[in-house]
Amino acid sequence: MKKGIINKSIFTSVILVIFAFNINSQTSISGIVKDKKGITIIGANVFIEDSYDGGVTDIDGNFEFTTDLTGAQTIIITYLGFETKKIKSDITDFKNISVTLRESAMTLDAVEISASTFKAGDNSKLAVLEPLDIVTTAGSMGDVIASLQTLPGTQANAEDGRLFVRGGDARETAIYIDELKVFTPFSRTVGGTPTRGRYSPFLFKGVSFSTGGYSAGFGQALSGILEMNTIDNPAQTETNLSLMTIGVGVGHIQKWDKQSISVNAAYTDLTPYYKLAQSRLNLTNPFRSFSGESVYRYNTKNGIFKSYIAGDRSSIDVAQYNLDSNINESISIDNDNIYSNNTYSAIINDKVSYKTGFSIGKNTDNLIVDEYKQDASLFGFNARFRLKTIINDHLIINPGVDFLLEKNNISKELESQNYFYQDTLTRTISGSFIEADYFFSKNLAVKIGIRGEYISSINEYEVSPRVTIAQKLNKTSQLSFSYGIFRQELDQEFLYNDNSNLVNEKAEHFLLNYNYNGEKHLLRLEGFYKSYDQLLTYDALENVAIGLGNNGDGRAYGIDAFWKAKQAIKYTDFWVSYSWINNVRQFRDYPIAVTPAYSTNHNLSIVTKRWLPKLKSSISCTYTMASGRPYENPNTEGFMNERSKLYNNISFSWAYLISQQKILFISASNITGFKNEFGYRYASSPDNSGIYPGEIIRPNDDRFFFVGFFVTFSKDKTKNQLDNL
Amino acid sequence: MKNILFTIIFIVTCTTVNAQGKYEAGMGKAFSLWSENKPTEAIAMFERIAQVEKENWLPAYYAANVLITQSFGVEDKSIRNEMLEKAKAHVATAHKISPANSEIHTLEGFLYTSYVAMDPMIYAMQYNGKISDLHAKAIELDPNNPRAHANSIEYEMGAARFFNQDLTPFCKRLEETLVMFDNQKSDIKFAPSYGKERVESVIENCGKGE
Repeated sequence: MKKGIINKSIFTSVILVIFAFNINSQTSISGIVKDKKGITIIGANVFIEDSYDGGVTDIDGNFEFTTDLTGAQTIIITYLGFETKKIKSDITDFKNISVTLRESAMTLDAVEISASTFKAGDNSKLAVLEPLDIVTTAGSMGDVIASLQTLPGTQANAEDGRLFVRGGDARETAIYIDELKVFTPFSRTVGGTPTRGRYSPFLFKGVSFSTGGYSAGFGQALSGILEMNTIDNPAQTETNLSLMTIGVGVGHIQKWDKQSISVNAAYTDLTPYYKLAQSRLNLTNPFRSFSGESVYRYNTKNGIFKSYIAGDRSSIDVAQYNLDSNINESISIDNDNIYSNNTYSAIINDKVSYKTGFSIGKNTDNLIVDEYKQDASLFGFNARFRLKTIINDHLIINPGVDFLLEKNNISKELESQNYFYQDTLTRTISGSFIEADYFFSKNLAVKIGIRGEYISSINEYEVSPRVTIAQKLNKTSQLSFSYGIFRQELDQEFLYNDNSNLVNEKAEHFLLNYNYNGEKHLLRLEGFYKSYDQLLTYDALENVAIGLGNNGDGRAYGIDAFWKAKQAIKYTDFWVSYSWINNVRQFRDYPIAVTPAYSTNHNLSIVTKRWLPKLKSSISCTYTMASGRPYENPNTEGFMNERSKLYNNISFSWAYLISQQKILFISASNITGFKNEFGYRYASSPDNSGIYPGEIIRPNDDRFFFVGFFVTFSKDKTKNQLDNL
Repeated sequence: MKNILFTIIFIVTCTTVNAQGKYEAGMGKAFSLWSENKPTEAIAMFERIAQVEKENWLPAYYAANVLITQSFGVEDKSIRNEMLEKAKAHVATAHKISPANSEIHTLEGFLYTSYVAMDPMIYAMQYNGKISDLHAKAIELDPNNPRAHANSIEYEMGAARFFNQDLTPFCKRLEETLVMFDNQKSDIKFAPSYGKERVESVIENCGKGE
């Protein structure tokens, strides 16, 4: 019996060993891999899931390999730029199989669904500017907004400095930092001196400027959206020092493992500059400001928290001639601004991510004109939550909600006449949106979005649909069409009055865009038609608006062209922007439909940059031309039918890298000294001879010079401040 | 009974050894494909091993490594971008398996160096900081990692070359890494140990031919 047991176990062992050998018997797997057009794919990886067994397709798209596996198995076929395919079947079925792979729709070279958007500094294929371009464009003086004014669709308003997009006034373009509203993006100046963006360019990793047809994620802008995204993680610990003809600045970045903090402080004082330079302004106290900002970033396991706080205080005092009272008025402006922006963005899993946050700001302007005092303040709060869900290889859905609260306060005082006025205005807008990107293929995609907003001040719920279709024509070019409805509240200064019967202003955009992005050249052509409706109208009676209504309308159409050559000539980049626009509207107190004063028919910018390796210098030259501005001459027949002279400006800048950590930067605007004008201003009543006295509106400074010396202290010697300029 | 037990133990051991042997054979095959100048096949093999060995960072590391190394020779920007995107995914996988790994940080620095080499005008400004950061982190994680040191020095050399600076100090620093190359040892089979030849050739050509 005992022997039998042993025999039996030997027998079992043998069976087991045979069984084990059986596992090792090989099955051959073979087939061919093609794309949808039947073209064979070379180099696709074909393998059995959770095993080492597999092969690569040869020059004819064929693959063949052997495996020891048996039974039901899954074969996986992967290839760069194609959707991964899985086939489940019995191992013996995988003989001479034919596999068709589908091009994955969301690859890097897929069509991009955006019509009128100019991007800078991100990895988008449609990026037109590189990070450095923003800051080294001559004439921009390191101002993000000023560099964007060299792009088509914008109007040169050199005496204003803000963004005027496709026939819209500056109010019609909203500015966002990390998807949250900036309430007072521009610093306060006196008439004729261009304002600057408050926020320093080096805080941002990317800028996206949309001149129409933008995402349903944004509301409250009739013409354009400027989105700026802050840097996630700064490069390294470093200290920066700036010595400039207009002031001094110091910055420090401290970096730890998971968190970092950047702090900047700047003192600007134009007093020394105007000791040397001439200005048309009679400056009693030139512009002075103290500003500080800090960004704190904390990286969590799957996300990043960012907190940005900026504050500035500025003042300027001038004496300005008043055409009505015929005296020099003393004007004094003090501005205090504080703004904070806090966001958290995180990835939940491969498919789902979200971004949430809030911004909060307070701005106070104190204006004193002789005895008249005016205090205006704005408190703003914006909160937002947005989800991004990748449903499958073809569909992405972004839903979200946002909330905006703005509280204005104004007080006016003229003691000598016992006049005192004070009013507050609070309003909220609750928005929700959903947007879907659907890729029919890698060459054809559509973005459909809808935005709903409840506006407390008028107790209305409004819906704005938007759609963009994009078709890739070939490897380098694409065509897109966009349509959308855009709404915006009336200018707040008119909302203090009884506004129960007023509604929001409305614009419709139709855009057709062609985009060519070759190795060395980039070309964009865009035709647009914009129709305005429900624009604010009123009668002006001695500077008081009465009879407010929404009876205005208007239309703007035109063509924008942009051509950029990247290194087509060695070391040289240049771009040319041209916009033609026909813009007519009847609004405010206009008796008839005309082109508004800020709008010019032709705008041209030519920007060149050249790197001189021997001189270790980067030089840039910008030429801007704009046709005449319309203005109303009360001494002539008709309304707004006069045109000012052509506007010309040649600016130049030179950045010299003394060493990797020391830079000298020299910049001059309007070097040839063109005597530019921006129309006329007239007294509100005629003089004794029945003629309205007037004067040409000229820039306060024909030219502006800037010299700066920038030093960086850091461990990494290659780092410099060139990207801060 | 004993025999059955023995048989079972034998078979189990066999299979384990077999699995271990399979991994070694697989990796060995992938390396030989790479050395035979068959990068596509090598990448495919590393990827196959990676999807089986879910706890081992090396296959994903090498899949990324071959992709990045190959990318330097690719002129077509869209293909190069795709390759680097794919390498990014492998690097992320490797990071997940082995979070504080000096070699993976070094490799990630190498990945972004390929972007900078592809288009310095766009990517130098964007990735300079990130690259020096990754190098610093890699050195911090393993101060004796010769590849971390060598890549970091070579990257700085690139900038110095741009400014026509003397390259000798960099070559001196590179020479110091040679000792580290000689002293490196690891218990893990297939752990990265490459890079000495490259450093030697850079030292040999120091400042020449520019």
